[in-house]
Amino acid sequence: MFLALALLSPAGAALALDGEALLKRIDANLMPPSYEAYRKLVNIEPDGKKKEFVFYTAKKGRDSMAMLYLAPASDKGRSTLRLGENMWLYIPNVGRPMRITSLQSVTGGVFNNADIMQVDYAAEYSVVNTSAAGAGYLLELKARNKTVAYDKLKMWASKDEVLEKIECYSASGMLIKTLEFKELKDFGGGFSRPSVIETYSPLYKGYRSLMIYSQVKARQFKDEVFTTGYMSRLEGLRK
Amino acid sequence: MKLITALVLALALAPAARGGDYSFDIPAREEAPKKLELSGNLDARYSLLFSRTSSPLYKLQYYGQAPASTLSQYRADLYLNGDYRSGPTAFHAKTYAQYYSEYSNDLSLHELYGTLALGDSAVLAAGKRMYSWGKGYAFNPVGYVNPQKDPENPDLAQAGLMSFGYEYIKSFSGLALANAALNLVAVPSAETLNAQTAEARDTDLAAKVSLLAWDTDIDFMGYASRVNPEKYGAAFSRNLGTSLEVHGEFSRFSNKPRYTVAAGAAAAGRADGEDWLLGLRWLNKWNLTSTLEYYRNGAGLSKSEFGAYDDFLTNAAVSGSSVTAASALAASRGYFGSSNLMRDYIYLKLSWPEPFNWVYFTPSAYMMINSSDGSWLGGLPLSYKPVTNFEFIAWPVLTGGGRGTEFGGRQASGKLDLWLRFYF
Repeated sequence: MFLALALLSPAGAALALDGEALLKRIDANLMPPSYEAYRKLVNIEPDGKKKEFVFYTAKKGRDSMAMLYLAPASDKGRSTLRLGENMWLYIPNVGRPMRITSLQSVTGGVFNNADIMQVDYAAEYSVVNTSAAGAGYLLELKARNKTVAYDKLKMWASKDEVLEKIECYSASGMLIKTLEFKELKDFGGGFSRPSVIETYSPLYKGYRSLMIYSQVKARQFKDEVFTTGYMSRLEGLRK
Repeated sequence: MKLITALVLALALAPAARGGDYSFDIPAREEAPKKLELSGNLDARYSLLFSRTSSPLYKLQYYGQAPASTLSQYRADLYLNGDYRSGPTAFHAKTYAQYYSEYSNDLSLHELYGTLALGDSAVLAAGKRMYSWGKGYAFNPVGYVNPQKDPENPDLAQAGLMSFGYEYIKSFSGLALANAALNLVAVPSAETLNAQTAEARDTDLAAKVSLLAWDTDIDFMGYASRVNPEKYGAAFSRNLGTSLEVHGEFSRFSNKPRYTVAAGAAAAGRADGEDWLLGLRWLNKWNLTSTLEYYRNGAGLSKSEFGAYDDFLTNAAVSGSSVTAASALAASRGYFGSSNLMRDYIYLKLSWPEPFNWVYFTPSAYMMINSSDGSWLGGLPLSYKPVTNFEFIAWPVLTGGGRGTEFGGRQASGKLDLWLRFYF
């Protein structure tokens, strides 16, 4: 009887679950395999002042992402590219892509480059432990290599396998930041996901940043779009 | 521009998000991107220059005059860009206007070129275009088609090159080689017969192959010419972890013009040799980014050659002849005008966005040291962006190193620039 109850509970389900497979499903529930999206990033200071950016984003596969700055005017035309753990920033005046690192932040605020250009979690992390947490799941993840921004993640997902919260830790076990996934929204085509990601950090007391998604749409791209040579031409993708 | 304005307005006026404390939402775009977009920035710039009156260059510049030791300059710079896109074709223009007064102003075209996309893999470009080859931040030994870079302000927009270009990109999956790109650039000769017509056989050709292999950017490039120095080289850049990047460039040149001073006059020669650069960029736990580069300028002047050049200027400054002074100043500008005349340089830049929670404020500091003669140039750009699309920059610069050294002999011992920059 006890065994049956355990197996029926999320904890029991978790025990029976393959953590890696669950992580891949959580990734799939977060984004289509290949898509374009418009996003707004808002950095909020302790006194309520805001700094805002608008991006066009194209993503393909598990670990390819390109991003074009649309606003403000001072940053318009900049673009960033991620291929696996390789990241570049293109500034029109400079005229060439420059390598950037995942812990840098091209926008300032609590989000760093790895957060803004987040690719599939399964591409960067392996599952160390899966357990029940409330009505959902708690996954403990470990970075696959040292070039990944955070050494460990604690990831909470609902019973529907939709992301709710992530805590990011350094190799020393220090909490670097928390990401909360909010405001489930139907983006059409049967695809729903949290439309707001809020992040805060004990390292930036009083500051928080929001990433707000709009128009997430499945779209196929050629691999050549995700190359440094294409970074100056990303505007041409927008229809 | 209108699309962005509409989008930003829509964002600001959007109703509160459902149930949360978020007062914004991003609505669906209501229109397609505009074909024609204008953008740019206006800089109002006030400068104070602190003269080094003992410098021979100062004496030549103001020969027969005795201005006050502190000089000022006020000017407006307008960078106006236009981009037109329609299907696979696009047209780009970047203009630069400099205004000192009604009697002293200038308008130039930094870029003016069209592109034709041949699918996602290839593109043709024709017109005046800025190229930026190389991986270095302050110096680019392999920048064969680049404009002259100002190591004091490497991010400054520069004028392009009349050229015809072709680029082809190919991605690979499942290989150590993730992608490869080929760039071909044909450069008509700048040596014209009547300011408009050049000999077709003097057209130069430049080529670059760029690879992303083993998570490393690797470039190979070459420059072929009948009249200009021939060059070939390579560059690389790679991340070593989450906060460290390393890069380097190597170039071999032959028949490069090289000017020295011999028998009291500028003498032209040719040289073969190598230029190279090694650098790193490191982000520490305080969010401070450090860029460190070592640059070897293979055709640069040795210490004794620079001494002869300095003697040449000094002698002209005390010659008592305005003709000799003007001639020496012209030689200095024409043959010794590079921002790095000698052979070995160390460059360090520190940039710290929003220190001590001072938001919108980014202080930077840089130092360029001529390791041959020990002279130095240091700057402290302070950027403050309290309002969207507005930036205030205070930028003091100091030079030092004693008499007869490269930076210690500059005609300004210091400079203070105050910029108000408006983006649109």
